[in-house]
Amino acid sequence: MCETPMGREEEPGWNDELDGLVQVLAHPVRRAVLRRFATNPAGVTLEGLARVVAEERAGSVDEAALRELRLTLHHSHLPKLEAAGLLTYDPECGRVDPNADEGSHLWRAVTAMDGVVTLAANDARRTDAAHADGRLSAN
Amino acid sequence: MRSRRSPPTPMPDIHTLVDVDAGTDRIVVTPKRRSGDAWETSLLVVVAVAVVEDTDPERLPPLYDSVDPEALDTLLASAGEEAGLTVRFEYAGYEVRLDSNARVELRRRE
Repeated sequence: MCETPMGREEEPGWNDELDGLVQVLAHPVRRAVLRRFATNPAGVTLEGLARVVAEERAGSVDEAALRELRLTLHHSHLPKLEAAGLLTYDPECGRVDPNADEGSHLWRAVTAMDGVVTLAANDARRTDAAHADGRLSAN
Repeated sequence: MRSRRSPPTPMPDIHTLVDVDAGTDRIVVTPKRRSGDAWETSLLVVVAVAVVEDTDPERLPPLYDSVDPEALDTLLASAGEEAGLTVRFEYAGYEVRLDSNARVELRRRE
């Protein structure tokens, strides 16, 4: 039998944790929230967080879009991130704080996976651009 | 630092989003527009309860505490309008019935 070094995959509960992380990172709004805390670990209000996410995603802040973003953050994304152990959300006060003490390996995994998602998106854009160039030069 | 959040931007348009038919034992809320592009069906639940309770949907407890809104939307979207799927759960003091035609039925819990 081949012996493989004991990896994280063999640790009890790690695969469940990994599945949870992949699910958490499956939505662009949640990735934007995590990027905000990865670059700035200070707590933030729901309103402030919605503005940061709206600016990152759309480059501008439209009141109606901001309103809907606050609603989806409050009712869906922030409680989900809290359940994954990545932040704490107080829905009464509208206060969001990163849960930095909750095992920093979680944050490293988040950052690494977010990097993979960004790389794949950039690669897809480059491929599209190359195809577009190819069509242009063919004409 | 604020201990309570300041009032959110007023949302006078939530009443324009839905039709409310209030009966004696149940309240039926349906979206006015059928475009469905701006609002996920799960958000319709919080809008429906907010309209009936005359409050702001941000003041209501997170829907996630009852059901994962993302999972709910995925399930309803996968069923399509012909399948006749109805989901029932409890939220914010109401029994909620939600179907894949985006029709919300609310019954106050005793």
